[in-house]
Formats: sequence, structure tokens, C-alpha cells
Amino acid sequence: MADGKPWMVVPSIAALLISIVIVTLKFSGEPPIDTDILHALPLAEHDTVVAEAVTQATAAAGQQVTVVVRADDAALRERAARELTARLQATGYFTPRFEQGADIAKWLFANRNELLCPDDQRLLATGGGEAVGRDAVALVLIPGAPASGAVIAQDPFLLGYRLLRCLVPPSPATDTTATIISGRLDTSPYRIAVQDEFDQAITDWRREWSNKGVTLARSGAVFYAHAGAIRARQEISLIGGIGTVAIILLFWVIFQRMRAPALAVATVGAGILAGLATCLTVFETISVMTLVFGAALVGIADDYALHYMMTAFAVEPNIKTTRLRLIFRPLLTGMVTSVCGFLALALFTSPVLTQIAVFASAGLIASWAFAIGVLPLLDGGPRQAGGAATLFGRIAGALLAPRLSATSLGIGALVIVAIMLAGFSQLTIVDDVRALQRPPADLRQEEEQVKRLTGFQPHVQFLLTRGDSLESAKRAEEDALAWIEAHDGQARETLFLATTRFDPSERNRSQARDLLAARLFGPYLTDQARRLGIDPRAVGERNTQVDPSAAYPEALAALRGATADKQYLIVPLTAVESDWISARAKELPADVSVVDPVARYAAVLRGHRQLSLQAFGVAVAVCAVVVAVVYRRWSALKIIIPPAVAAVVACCALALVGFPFSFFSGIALLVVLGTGIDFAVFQYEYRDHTEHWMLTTISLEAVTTVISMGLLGLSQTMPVASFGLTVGVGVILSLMLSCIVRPLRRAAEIKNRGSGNIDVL
Amino acid sequence: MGNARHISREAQAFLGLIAFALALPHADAARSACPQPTDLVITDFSRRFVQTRHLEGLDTPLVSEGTVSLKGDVVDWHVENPFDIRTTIGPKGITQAIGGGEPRALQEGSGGGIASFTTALAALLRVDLYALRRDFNVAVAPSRSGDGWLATLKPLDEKLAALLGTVDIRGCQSVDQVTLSRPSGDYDQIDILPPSSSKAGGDAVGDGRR
Repeated sequence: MADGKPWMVVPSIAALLISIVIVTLKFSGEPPIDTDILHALPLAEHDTVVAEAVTQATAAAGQQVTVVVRADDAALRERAARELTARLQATGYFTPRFEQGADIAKWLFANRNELLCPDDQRLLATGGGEAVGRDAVALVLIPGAPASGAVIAQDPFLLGYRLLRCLVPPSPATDTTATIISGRLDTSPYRIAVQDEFDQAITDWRREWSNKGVTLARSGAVFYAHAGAIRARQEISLIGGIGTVAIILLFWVIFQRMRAPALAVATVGAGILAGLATCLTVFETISVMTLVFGAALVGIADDYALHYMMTAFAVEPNIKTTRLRLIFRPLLTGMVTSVCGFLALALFTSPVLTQIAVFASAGLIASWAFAIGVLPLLDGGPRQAGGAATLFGRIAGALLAPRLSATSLGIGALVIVAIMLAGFSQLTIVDDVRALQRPPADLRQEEEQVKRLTGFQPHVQFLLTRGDSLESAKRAEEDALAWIEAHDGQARETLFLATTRFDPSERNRSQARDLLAARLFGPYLTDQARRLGIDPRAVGERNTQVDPSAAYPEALAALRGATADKQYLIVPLTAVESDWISARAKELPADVSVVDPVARYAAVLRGHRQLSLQAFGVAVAVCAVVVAVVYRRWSALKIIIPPAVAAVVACCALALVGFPFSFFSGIALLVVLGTGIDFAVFQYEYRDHTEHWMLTTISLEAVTTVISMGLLGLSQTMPVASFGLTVGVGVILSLMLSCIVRPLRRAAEIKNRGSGNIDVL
Repeated sequence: MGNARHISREAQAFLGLIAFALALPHADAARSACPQPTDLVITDFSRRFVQTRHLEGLDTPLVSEGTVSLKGDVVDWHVENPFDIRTTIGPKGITQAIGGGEPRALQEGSGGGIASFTTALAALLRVDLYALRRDFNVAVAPSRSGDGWLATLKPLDEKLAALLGTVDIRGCQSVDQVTLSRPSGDYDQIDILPPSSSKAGGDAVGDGRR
């Protein structure tokens, strides 16, 4: 155990085995993968009621599913629609709207003596009780009317039915060739198992019905999430696959033995396993975006293996401890600064960024430990470099160790300043959440069809009412709805999904109870009972029964919530209603406001984009402190210049080609700093005959990082592409700029020797 | 006396045979007078009806009567007693006007689920078994009394079946009686009176027994 760092061997292998067990256990059931891209957004919201309500409203909206079945033959269409409904229900995740309606109908029936429609309120107030009774009889006499004797005996005025007709709008109108299936998912649409089963149900249905001329159009987050998940899986396979293959080939070509890529893969694998296991231990599920970003870890983790194996060309044979000593300090410095860079992501309150920080930090530490602990045991001794390695070394030497005069440095600086100025002038910024996704064209078209056929308008905003108690929140919502209805006659139909319409405050319940007793039951109940053939003596008691055991409908439960000290209620709004109400927001009661989650997310993203730049500044300072502590020289601080400048120039260069700057570009700056600093550290460290191989190593390091991370730029998901391009360009620039570290170091050393100053902290 | 009894038995048997022989042509005639439901072509009509709803928990059946008119695929169900109710059922939905007032919409479109029976009423009155088979399992058999046919409908949709139960249609040249038997124990009987019937009185109401 004289080779390597023996004290690292046992912990490395133990951590690896534990990671394998954790990952195997976690993936033995349903994959614990979250595909909700909105989880990449920061949680920062100072108002906890708004934060909770936004999360709740977004989740509820995401659970809505609408499918339109079309065919000219009505009988065929109805059969196809019936079968599709059955298939979706068979997944165990879907509740059709008519079943949700049944829950609400039961609730209304149970509460019929304390609820009143506004129309009925007016009707009863003006003496229309007799008409209510005749309506009930007329309904019962419709051939095939489903009113049962049990219902009529308890509710001779059919008030439950009246409430249902009044409070729940009819199914959306369709043309004569379409049947609508709408409903709600009983779980998150972002669960992969749910998406897969839903997709399978629809694929099976299409296989049976599409050749009969029946078509289908879908609308719902579950379909978009599934498309996104498929895309993410493809991207993970593509980026991770190409990255891995390219790195294996590179290692094989450079080291000319199959053991080299195997060791590199083992080093990377140790990192990915540890990252995954740590994430799955800390978090319940892991975001698909974390996995995509995690695929890029390949490009950094393999650097540790690369550095170690490269030392085989730089030292005398069979002296492994010397090999490790050559790289231990820079490798440790590089790892610590990289981990610091990634951990800075956790400063943002985005769940996904926190996961990436945990994943990358644990992964990098594990890969580093594996490289310095286990690799020396498995790698062979020093050897002569082959032709490919020698050629690569010469190219790297030419590119990274040029003779830099003051003039060439000055010209380089001018070019950089010019790029920065031009880039800043062209810089555009994207904070809009909607730009995060580019949904597939076929799904967009289908959603347009659904909108056209159903008149469906998505509820993107909501009315938020809060109170110290549920009763006060209900009263505030009732006052707000009354105010809105007074100004907009259509509001009652469009704003039907409000808690207080179905479950009013005690104040309104009491009013309804009194009105029904005085204007309906008192004067007309006996006559109505006789008309329907019921014993008038028994009906009074049954009629006034309220069933306290009626379950609260899930659709209504989704509209209310509570924080530590507040109760709140949500009324979903379409964009049209929201605009109209927002324009008069000042007239709304104090505890009522219109909330636009998209605008709030954009504002939060804007704030965090600005914060990412501040974090970049902080990370630069932290790295400077780490470097200063490790090297104990002022001149070592020049190590920070190349990655810091490269990060800024990368953003400017991308702006020049029209790529906007976003929050995700901002976090990429931290990664550029974390990875780019390695190049500068090694350039600073080496000053003897091993330099040649050091340059080869950091060049290869940059190549592998760009292959893996730069490929993220191919992603169809804007945050991933933005991150990948910024990192890819930034890393290349970091490598190129790292060549200024040695001239600057030498200049400092010459200056210190001449002046007699001591460059020691 | 014994001889007389013997003759009497022979005579009885003979008479029985004669009676059977005489009865045969009548039975054939009755069957031949009732075409198969699939062969029926029922044009638009307007006939009196009496509906009796037997509902559990209600002390007396709910009886209503009036005129049912079928025009194309629209049914005009006009109750005149106990009071004026005009219900129009068609592909565009269901509307109802009470006491000669303005019709109000009860349902938009033909829809499925609970409205299947109501919206299938036109097909039912026309004995359009092809159309009825979209929503129901249909079984046709001769009626027990031998004077017509009986079509039994069971909803294909399980939820609707649990609510609606079974629909029996009895008739000969047209629909004469419709009985809805619900799992809850409730049952409705609708007698569609012959075109020649005068305005039905209380006696025309079925006794409600199945």
C-alpha cells in the first residue's frame, strides 16, 4: 500500500459499494425521476401564502386532461370515446369529469338546505317558491328521468339538482363530429410511470381506432411532460453516450491500451454513482434536468483519471508515489475550487440547482478520491508516450505555451475588450418562463384543436383571497365575487370554480337557510309532498336533514390551503378575466389579489439572474482565497484571471451570435470558473520538464469537458442548451487564456527578485 | 252415468282438439300480424301516453298523461296532466317549458351517460334497433302473451346500467308499452295508447305490475 494514498482506498471502495446498493434499491421500483421542468425555477417568494398558492394552483392546472375524439359517425365516435375513457381509467390515475361531478353532486345534495343559487335567491325573494316546486315535478315527469324515489323523498324540490345545474356549467359545446373526454389526474403528471401508462393507453387506443377514421387531440401537462421526458432520455443517451464514447476513444488513442479508458470510465462511474446515491438519499426524487446536467459530469470527473495517467509519461518508471505527488496539490486545489463552484448553485433556492450542486459535489469528490486512492493500484507503471500522445503534446505545447511578448499580450487584451464591448451592445436577456420549453409541434396543434372545439381557455392566473380564519377568507372571497359579478354579468359562468359557491361562509349559509325556510319550505312543502305522493308528516323531517358525512369534493379541496397563520382560497382565472380584474385591482377588497404565476416566475428568474452574477463575483473571491491559502503567494492570485475573464467573454461571444443571456447562463459562469481554474492552476504549478505533459493533460481535460458539456448546447430545452453553450465556450476560452498565467508568474518572480520583495503571504 | 262420463271425456277431448285446431290459425294470424321489430318502419306519429312512476319511498305512484309526438329524431313529450309541461328531446339537447312559458335548456347536445335513455327515446319509439344498439344490448323475443314482441335493452355503459337498469319495450305494429326497471327498485311504466284511443282517463293507467 505504498502506492497512491492508502488511506483513501477503503473509504473510496466502501462509498462505491454503498452507492451501488442505494441506487439499486431506489431504482428497483418506480424510477424516482421528476420530469417537472418548473422545479428548475427558484422558490424564492417572500409571501409564503402566494408561494404556496402558486405551487398549489400550478399543480392543479397540471393535473387537468382534455381529449377530443373526432369521427363523422356519431355511433363509432361514442364507442371510441367510451373505450378511451375506460382505457384511461384503467391506468388508475384518471378520474373523468362526470365522476368528479358525482362527488360535487353528493356534496350539493348534502348541503342543499344551506346553499342557494343567486337566481333562486332572487326567485324566492320575489315569491317564486311555487315555481320551484313545479320545476321539480316537471323534471321528475321527464321519461327516463334519473331522480329516484329515495332522492325525491328527501329532497322534494330537487334543490340538489337545481344547485348542480346552476353552479356547475354544462360540458363545453362541441361540433357534431367531436366528443370530449375531460378529467383530472389523481397524481402528479410529472411521474414517469404515470406518463408511460397514459401514453401506452393512448397508443393502444390509436392502434385500434385510427384506421377506422377516428382521430384524437390531446391537451394536458401530462402529454407535454411525457414528450419532455422522452426528449430528456434521448438527450441523456446522446450527450452521455457521445461523451463517454469520445472519451473512451481519446483515452485509448492517447494511452494506447484498453486499461486506460476502462480506468477513466471507472473513475467517472464512481462519481456518477456517488452523485446519484447522495441525491437520492437527500431528495425523494431526482429531476430529469439533474440527470441531464449530471451527464456532463463525465467531462470533469474523467480529468482526475487523466491527470494521474498522464504522469506515467512524465516520471521515471516504477515510482508511483512521485507520480501522485506531481499532481496531488493541483488536483486537490482544482477539486476544491470546482466543488465550491458547484456548491454555489445551492445558493439559489431552485430545487433542481440544489440537486445539481449535491450531485456534482458528491460526484467530484468521489471521482477525485477514486483517482488518488484506487487508480494508483490499478494503473501500470510509467512508460514511454506513444505517437498520438506525443503529437497531441506538441500541438498543446504550441497552443498553450506560446512566446508571449508584451505586444502580443496587449493585442490579445484589446481583442478581448472589443469582444466584450460588442457583446454587451448586442446582449439580450430572457427571463420568461415560457421560453424554457419548446413543446413538440404536434402537441401544440392538438391543443389548438382542443381549444377551438371546446372553447377551453387555460386558467393561467388566479384570484387569491386570504384570511386569518377559513371563515374570514370565505367572506372575503364572497365579497370579491359579488363585486366582480356586479361589474361583469358573465363572471358567474366563467368564475364558477370558487370554493364559496359550493361551500359558503356561515354568514351566507345562515341567510340561505332562513330564506329557504321562510319562502319555500314553510309555505309550499306540504303541497309539494302531496303532489309527489309523499307523506307530508314525514317529509318535513327528511327534507331538512343535512348529511355531515358527505365527503368534501377533491376539486374543491384543491382550491384552498393554509400556511402557518393564514387560510387562503383560489379561484382560477382565464387570461381575459385576469386582465379585466387586474385593471380594477385597486377596487378589490384588501385581502384579495390577482396572482399571475408566469409573471411571478419571470420576476423571480430575473432576480436570480442578477443574483447569479453576484454569486459569480463571490465565487471568484472564494477561489482567490482558496488559491491564496494553498500557494501563500500574491502572484498566485493571477490564477483567477483566465477563468473569470473567459466566463465573461463567453457570454459576450454568445450574445454576438444572438444567444440570449438567462439565469441558466449565469449559473454556467460558476461552472466555467470551477473547471477553468484547473487549467490555470496547472499552468501555475509546473515549471520543469514535466510541463510538456501538463499542457497535454489540461488540453485533453478541456477537450473532454467541451465534448460532454458543450454537447448540452444541442439540447432542445433552453436552460440546458444555454448552460451547455456557455460552459463549452467558456472552457475553451479558459484553456486559451490559461497560457498567460506562466508569463505573468515569471514576470512577477523576476520583478520580486529584482526588487528584493518577498511574494509570500 | 259412467258411460255418460266416458262420452263426456271423449267429447271434451274432441272439443279440445277442435278448439286447438281453431285456435291455431288465430295464433298464426296474431303472429303474422306482428312483424319482427327489425322489419318495422314507423313513421312520424302523435299518440296519447300515460306514464306511471313507481318510486320507492313514495306512497302513491306518480301518474302523468299527455301526448307524445315523434317528428324525425325529435320527441315532443307534452304532459297535460297534472299540469302543462312540454319537454322537447332531440339531438340538440333537451328543453322544457312549463305552463306554456319560455322553453329552457336542460341539456345541450345529445351527450352520453345519464342522458342516453332520454336521448335514445326517438330511436326507442321508432323501434330503431340499429340505433339503440349503440348504447344498449338489445334482445328481442316474442312476448309472453304471444300477441307481439318484447325487446329488452340493457345499457352498455356499466355506470348507466347501474342507474337505469333494464328497459323492456313491448309492441306489435308499434311500441305499446315501455317499462324501465331500476336496480333501486323504482320502476316506470309508459303506455303508448293506440291512435284510436280517446283521451286516456285514470282507468287507462297500467296497474304497475310487471
